[in-house]
Amino acid sequence: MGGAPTRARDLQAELLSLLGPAGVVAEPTRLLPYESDALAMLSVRPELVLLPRDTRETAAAMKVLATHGVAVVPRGAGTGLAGGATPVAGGVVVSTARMRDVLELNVADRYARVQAGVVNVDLSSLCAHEGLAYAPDPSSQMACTIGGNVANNSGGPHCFKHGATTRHVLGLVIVLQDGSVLELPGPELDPAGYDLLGLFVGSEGTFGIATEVTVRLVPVPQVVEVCLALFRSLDAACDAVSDVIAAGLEPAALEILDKLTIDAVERSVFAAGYPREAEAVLLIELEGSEPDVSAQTRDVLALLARRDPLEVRQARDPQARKKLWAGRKGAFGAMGRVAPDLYVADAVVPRTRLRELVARTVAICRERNLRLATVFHAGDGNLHPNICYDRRDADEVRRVLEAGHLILAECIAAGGALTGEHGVGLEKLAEMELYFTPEDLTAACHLRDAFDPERRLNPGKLVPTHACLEVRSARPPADGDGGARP
Amino acid sequence: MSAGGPGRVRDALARLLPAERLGEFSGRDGVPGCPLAAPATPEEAAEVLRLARAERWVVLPLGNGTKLGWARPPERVELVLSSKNLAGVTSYEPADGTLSARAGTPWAELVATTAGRHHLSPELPDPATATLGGVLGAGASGLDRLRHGPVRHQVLGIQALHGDASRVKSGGRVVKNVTGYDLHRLWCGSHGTLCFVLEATLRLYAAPGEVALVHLCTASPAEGVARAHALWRGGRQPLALVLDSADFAGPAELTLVLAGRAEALASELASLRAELPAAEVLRGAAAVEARAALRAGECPGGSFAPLVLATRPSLLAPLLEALAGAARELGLSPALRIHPLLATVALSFPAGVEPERLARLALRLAELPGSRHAALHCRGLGARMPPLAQPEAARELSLRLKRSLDPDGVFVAGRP
Repeated sequence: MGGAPTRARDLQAELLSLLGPAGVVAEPTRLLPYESDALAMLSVRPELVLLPRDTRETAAAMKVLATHGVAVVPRGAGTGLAGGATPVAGGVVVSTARMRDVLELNVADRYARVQAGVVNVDLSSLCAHEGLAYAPDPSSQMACTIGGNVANNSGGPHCFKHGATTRHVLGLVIVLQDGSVLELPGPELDPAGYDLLGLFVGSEGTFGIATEVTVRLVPVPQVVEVCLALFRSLDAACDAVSDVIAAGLEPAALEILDKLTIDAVERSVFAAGYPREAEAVLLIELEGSEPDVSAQTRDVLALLARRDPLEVRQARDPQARKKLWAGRKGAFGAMGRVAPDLYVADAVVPRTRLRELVARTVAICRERNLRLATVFHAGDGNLHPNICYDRRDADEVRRVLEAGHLILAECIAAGGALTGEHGVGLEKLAEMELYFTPEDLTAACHLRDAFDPERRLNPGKLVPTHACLEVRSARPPADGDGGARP
Repeated sequence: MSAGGPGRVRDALARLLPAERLGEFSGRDGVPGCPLAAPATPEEAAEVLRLARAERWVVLPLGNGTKLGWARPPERVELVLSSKNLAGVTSYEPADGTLSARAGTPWAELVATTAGRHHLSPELPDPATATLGGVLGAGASGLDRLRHGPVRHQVLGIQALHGDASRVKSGGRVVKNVTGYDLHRLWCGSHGTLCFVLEATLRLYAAPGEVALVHLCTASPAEGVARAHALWRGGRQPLALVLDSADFAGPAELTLVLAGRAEALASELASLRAELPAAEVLRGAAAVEARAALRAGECPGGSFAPLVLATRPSLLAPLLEALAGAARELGLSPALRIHPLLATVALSFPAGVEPERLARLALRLAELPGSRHAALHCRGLGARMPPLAQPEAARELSLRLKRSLDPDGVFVAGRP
């Protein structure tokens, strides 16, 4: 913050006058929770945390921060797994935690307009009374916010059918780096001009802070059926997924849990009664009209039978479904029994190569004497190898990071992608250069120039810093007098 | 205009590309005629862009030009860069549900490649003439938008050339991917102002087991809208729901396209027959034929409707009333293609209606009461299109994006 204590005190006083004492956190002990997001191995304490209540306060605070040239780290609930909300060099965290109002619920037109800090599951609960739902459902949905979902283009199990956040965002109010407000009003159908909404979603806080979000709601399906199959091998579960996709079935969700996860779940409060000999659990959720779900279920059961499952369980009523999902929903919590820390990797592979790449992740971890618990969105080819570790063990941390890097490299080499839903953040910066060419990264820097030429918004995230620095030294700023029109 | 005019452009291109890849763009939709280059490789396309940048020519990327009129004519253009020789499917992975193809590939070729196994979205009215690159550049959508969304939701990744001839990738080839910025979302619908698309990957959907159409006559478009919304509230989820009418006052025909598994479809039809006893149901070959006709209705007589209004479903009925009044005052009687659940109204006019009258109507529509909640999309009005109703901050940001991604102004400006 410029380094000078007097300047820092002036800044704090100015922000206090704008946001009040409830809107500014400065005490060191209260800053601790903001040192990192859910990627706990990387942490840097911010100098201040701001908690504005709405767009107006956010804009006012951002104007002050711009005047002082302070780095800004936007933050939702801090549930991200890639270090996207972790400060890298002090600076100020701007949290949406106090922006929790649902501004409009329009049942007739099936949309909701909410403040960015509304918790994902709260929105769905609110809509459920009207027979509607907000489809993206990240595993952290009990805590994560809609604004955080926008920043990361979050997914979740049901995005297999309904698509990730970007398909559900209809409008945004964004505070830009200089404190100006960009309104991209929804919920009409197509953008007037460039698709700025589509560009903003998934920009990980580097383009601005979303303060209000208009989202599309979908009808709650008439019938939902969950099939849970237990297999003797992880390969068999992967093959069953490939069978379902190849047959043209489109379930709402297709999830796999491996042996270590099953063991952890069974030893936890989330115990789902999985038999000990099961090496993999496959959860398939089907939704639609009654005859549609019945026909889909019949076909799914026939496909599962081909892979010789130990057992198949089915449920339609909500309580029984919840029980079948309990193991999957509680998997991350249950993992706390296996090791104090969990490195949740995130990569995507072509669905035809699921079995092969899952086997490679197992081998990579075994070679490094690491315990791997795999839970993944199999239908999307979205792997989540969860590597158990203890952050106090420096050598184990080194092996975890090495394994994570190798897994990502293998997935990219197989034609996959670096991240399916967690984002790049700090965690995957190095691998961005495996996935993208220098020209691709230069284009990303050009984009960033248009939003934030000074790189004050979430600096050091998403795009490797040196790529942007090289670009900036080679060309004039985007707000020059280019004279071009879009 | 570049020094030396079109002759100099032609001469310089002739030194770069063989004669068979050069031609003339004859001009249409307000875009003047000019030399045309149709490179056959990405490297050739990059060479053309390097030349254009060095010579300060402004380049208009073009597929087949079927949607050229969907945006305002560019302020200046010296060269058309056609993707017609960059064609062909590069990868179809049925088990992954993805399809990659070069920009100049006719949409019909993509449909033929995936036929039987997959549904390709958008379901366009002009597959024989539309190209992949053109559809992306125009940000098109099709008959199936209600279920699958616009083309920007189908794009998994794009490779393109920027104005400095650098080859840039955004997205990838897998069905789920949040790696880096979604530059491909920005490219979709940018009407050739930001890049020259080389290749794209689309996600595919499982082909439905069966398709059926349900027709119902209603007394007026307003009644049709009310019927459609009642069906929606009742939980119906068709692939498409369309309302056609020859004018605002006359009868309207409501059509539901149902697509899915045979068992589910049979049950849905039985329930619809009970709810709409007067409805006619088409299945089998008759449904296929009727669906094709319905699809063609998105582009009546081979021309896209010049005016399309989009609003919210609950505001559609009052918007129709206001529209009728505005058209009546100008002595116009457009035919209507309404998507009641998407809340869009496309207005088509008989041949011979003066463009000035259409432009006056467009201006009136842009000023309708409640227009804050309605977006007007004009097609084929050329320079007569009213300016975009875009918030000032969004307009300024768009200008910065254009300057940042195309600092030398190699690609056309002033379109979306």
